[in-house]
Amino acid sequence: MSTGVVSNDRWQRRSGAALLCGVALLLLALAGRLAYVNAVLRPQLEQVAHKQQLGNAILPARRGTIFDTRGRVLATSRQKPDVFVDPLYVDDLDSLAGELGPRVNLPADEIAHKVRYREHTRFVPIAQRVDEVTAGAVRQMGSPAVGLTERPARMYPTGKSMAQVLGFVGRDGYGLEGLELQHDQHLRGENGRRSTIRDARRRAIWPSHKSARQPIDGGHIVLTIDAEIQRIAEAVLQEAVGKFEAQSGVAVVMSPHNGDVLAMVSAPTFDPRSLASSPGELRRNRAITDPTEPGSTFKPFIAAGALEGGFVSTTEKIDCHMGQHYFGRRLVTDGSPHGMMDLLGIVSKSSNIGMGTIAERMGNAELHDVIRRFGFGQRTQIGFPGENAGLVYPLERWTSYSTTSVSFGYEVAVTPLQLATAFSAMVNDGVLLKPRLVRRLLGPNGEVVESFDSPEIVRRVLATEVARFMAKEVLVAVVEDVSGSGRRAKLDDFTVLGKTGTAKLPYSDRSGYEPGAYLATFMGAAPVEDPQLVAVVMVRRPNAKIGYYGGVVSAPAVGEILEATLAYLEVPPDKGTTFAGL
Amino acid sequence: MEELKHSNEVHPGSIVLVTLALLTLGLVVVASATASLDRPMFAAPLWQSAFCRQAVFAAIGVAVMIIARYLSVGVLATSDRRARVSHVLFALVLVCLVAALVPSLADPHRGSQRWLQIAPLRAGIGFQPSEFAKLAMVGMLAALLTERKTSLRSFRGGFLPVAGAIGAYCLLVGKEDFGTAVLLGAIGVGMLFVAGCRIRHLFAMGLVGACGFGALLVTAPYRLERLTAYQDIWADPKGAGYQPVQSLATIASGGWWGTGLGGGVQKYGYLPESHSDFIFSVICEEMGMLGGCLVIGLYCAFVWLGLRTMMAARTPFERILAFGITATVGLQAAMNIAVVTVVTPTTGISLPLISAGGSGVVTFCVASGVLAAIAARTRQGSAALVGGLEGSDGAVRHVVPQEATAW
Repeated sequence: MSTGVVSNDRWQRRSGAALLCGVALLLLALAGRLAYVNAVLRPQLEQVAHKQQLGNAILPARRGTIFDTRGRVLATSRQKPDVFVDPLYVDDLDSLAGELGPRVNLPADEIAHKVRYREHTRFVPIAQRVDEVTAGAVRQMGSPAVGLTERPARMYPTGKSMAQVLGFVGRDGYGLEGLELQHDQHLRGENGRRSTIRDARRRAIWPSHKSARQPIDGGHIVLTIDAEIQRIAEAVLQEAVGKFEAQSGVAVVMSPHNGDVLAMVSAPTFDPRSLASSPGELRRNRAITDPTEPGSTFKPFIAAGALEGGFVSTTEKIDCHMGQHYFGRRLVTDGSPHGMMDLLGIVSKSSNIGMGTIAERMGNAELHDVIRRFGFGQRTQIGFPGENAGLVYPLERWTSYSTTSVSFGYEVAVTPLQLATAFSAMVNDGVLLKPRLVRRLLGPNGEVVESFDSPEIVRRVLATEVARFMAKEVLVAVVEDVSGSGRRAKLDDFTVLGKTGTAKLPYSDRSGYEPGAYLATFMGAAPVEDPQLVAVVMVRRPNAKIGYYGGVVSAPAVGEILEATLAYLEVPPDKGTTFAGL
Repeated sequence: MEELKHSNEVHPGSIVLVTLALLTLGLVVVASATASLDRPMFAAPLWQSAFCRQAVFAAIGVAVMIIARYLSVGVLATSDRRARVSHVLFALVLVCLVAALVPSLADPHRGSQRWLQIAPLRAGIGFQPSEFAKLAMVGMLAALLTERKTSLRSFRGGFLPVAGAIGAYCLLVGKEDFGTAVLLGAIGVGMLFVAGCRIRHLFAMGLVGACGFGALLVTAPYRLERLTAYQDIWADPKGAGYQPVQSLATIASGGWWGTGLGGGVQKYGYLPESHSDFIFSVICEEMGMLGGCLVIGLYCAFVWLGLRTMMAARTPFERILAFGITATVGLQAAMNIAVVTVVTPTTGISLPLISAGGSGVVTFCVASGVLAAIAARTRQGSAALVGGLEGSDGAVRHVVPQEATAW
């Protein structure tokens, strides 16, 4: 054995050991790198991982139900299945479409086309909101390529009847108009969320341990509206609009003692189930959003204000100048000539000259004050999107012309709701109440969250005696007198009070009034001793050849609404020949 | 014989044990990493599940390791036989490597032509000759470098043929498998160095080798792309930087303690090659830094055992061979971990004994078996020496003096 061998052996051992130690050190250094990745780079990298792995699924909250005052369902949400196809699992598209087609009542080639169009997605919607029978038939196919997914759908069992009041919700479940919009926060609830960990193809693997949130269902609301009264008012209004070939109509029925709106109808209406085919024009809740010059229905408010202010007494005779009189340089005429008349005569015969004379005595400031006291020119705060305040010019802008114009209902604009509210104040012994549409807000489980049962008093507008005189003497005469302008609202069983109005309509595109275009109005209440109901009907642009006076077009409608509603509410009649014989 | 340090002797069973530990760990992680929503772990047909294939490969690996452990003892005993076996193996692998380049023989379903098809397409059985090439080259070099007639001190007579063989081999492998070529080059140079060649010869070889690798880089554009992607992985995290970013994100998802076995998410389609080249990331995700360190620890243990085996080995052949095998395992593990932790650019290097893949598992099992055989021979030899050559194994008795006079 030579030394060369030994030294070579030693070299080999030492150099080999050194190199292998180097390899081991390399491995240990990589353990250090691992620690560095975990300690320093981790936050950024975890973000990358989480962002791609987490998928959020929305757990929809159930939208609350809208009830009428007696608990009838007006709007509710139901889970309805959508049918979809997952192209990833489609083996033979044509046979699948052929099998699916008859079940969802769609032509097979249409289904095939839909799927082909979105072949590279995972979700091709085929049919929305199908019924249970269809869903069962689809389920029965047992195909992995066809699936059902539940989605909430809004249902309106009363259909067109209350469409403008209720409004509607959008595809995403948000209230877009009407009470659905006004109380959206309350009705909507809060969607829950479930996070799932997903694979690279977005399929759920398991739930994420973080941030699962249960949905909070929406609350319910109870309206003051009674679906039956609404139905009555709608039927009557539709008939009147149809009979007089009018452009549109509005009816409001209120309970004068508490400000509850019992019915609120706009005609023509729309079907909330086929929104797409209804023009936006029809979706306005005209009773709240559309102000117009009221015409003669305004006279009782001015007259009451004059009495209250002592500008005229109940017995004083005022010269009505036989139908023609100049106020300054303005000629004012009456429909029929009258001589000396007291306040009762002026209002019930609707004399413009008489009203003008009274208004001149009051002066602009007093007139303006009376109008504002009745709530005109201000929102009623009923709680409805797009409520119009009407129009009462500020006092500075009033002229001597305004004095007379306002006294018979021009140069001011009021909404049907304002008119009904102010009229309610008059029959409610002069106390103005805040009108309301919602009686209660209920929680998701039906518990009362907020109640509006006690009426909210805005202010006393008239002394009780003045209000009573106006209602029980003056306005009764309008209906009950054989020559009263509102005689067509007269009923067999109830004494009705009210006031007619026939207002000229201005051109929509220029100044001046359009000949032959009228707004026929009647506001009525019954029974006279303790009025339970106030009803206002406005018919816009009736065909003048058939009839256009408020007393002709609208008074019978109000009469019918009052008669049917009082019967429905089982209000005892205050007159009637049937009892006379007993 | 004062150089023989009995303290360095290794029980061959410990090498087998570490190998089995890595193999088992690999099997578990492969099972986890190949789970997907489309295919549960034990879905029928069983043969098609990656886990079952890997289990079969591991079983084959264990079998060949045991065979190698006992068979190589005899082969190692005579210089004639071991040289013949090494050369035959080398030649065989060479043929396979060349064959894999022939398009009609290569498996058409795999991107780069690393695969050689050996059974009808349907069965999906093929193998990667480059995996076997590692062991073949290490064995061939060990034989070549310790042959009596070779003098490594002379350039033309000893160094050049060996270096040339290494270079040619690397080029052949490197055409399709750059990472393995780098590994082989490093192992080859290391073995030359340990065998005792002149340093300046090695420098010259290094220079030529660098040019060779440069050429390999330029011929395949995707390699350059990987290199540039490595410069700033955040420049294009959805494109060129996708793999590195996902690999690091997988490691970071595990944190220190991991999400638990089977709890990883990145393997569900986010991390490519999660069961093979990037399996270390999955280990780190599911077992955390702890699991990563455990794996690194096992490789360190293997290297340590190999080092001691080499130190204790009695013949230069066994010494060089032990060094080559140990260095291959350790270095390949280091290269793989360096890739998945984005220390180096991405190369297709698997994690020895853990990554899914039959060729690799079998190769490293054989290597472990041979290493264990060397350890066994050393123990037997020293036992024989201590006992005054009264061991019943004739081979040992005759071999030791024969080897001692060989140099």
